[in-house]
Amino acid sequence: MDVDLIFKIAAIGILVAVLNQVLIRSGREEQAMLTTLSGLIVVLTIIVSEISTLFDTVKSAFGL
Amino acid sequence: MTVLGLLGIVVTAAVLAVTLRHTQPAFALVLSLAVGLLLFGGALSAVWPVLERTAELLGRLSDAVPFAEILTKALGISLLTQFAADACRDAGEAALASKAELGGKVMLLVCGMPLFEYAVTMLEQVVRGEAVGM
Repeated sequence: MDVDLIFKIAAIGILVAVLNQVLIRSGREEQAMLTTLSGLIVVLTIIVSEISTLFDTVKSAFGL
Repeated sequence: MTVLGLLGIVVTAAVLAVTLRHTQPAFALVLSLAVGLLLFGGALSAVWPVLERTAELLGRLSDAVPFAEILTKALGISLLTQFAADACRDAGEAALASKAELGGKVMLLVCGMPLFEYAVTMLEQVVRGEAVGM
């Protein structure tokens, strides 16, 4: 049970949003898009391992 | 994990998700998914003793039919299906959510089949006037 996970994801999200705005204002739409994409990938890699842990727990707990 | 801690996490996550939603909707979705995972894990660990006790009580009911096993399996399938369907619905994919629910229902039907057989056998015995035995 780590609440840090939520804050980590939110922090990455806010950071990416700010970077996105800055890059779009300076006329670099492609880089802004790539930043969003890479942030999303980072967050997804974090969450996928958590989801896998949860599925394993449920699998062993409920005998699936 | 107390109920206050749980509620605090939910409210904090809701505020963060609202902050993110209008600029980065995908991040808001991942955030709500992460909170769902945390709460799910917390609730599961809290309810685990109750489940074990229920399984023990149901185990006394019959030796022939594994009531407790079927019940816990069905509960697990339902919870996981609900989790996946809710994630899809949060992402705005109602069609995918209903497909996930359909899959879960089919799996439940498969795993509940022994209970249906048991009920039919019992009904048959009652209709034929035989003594009902476990």
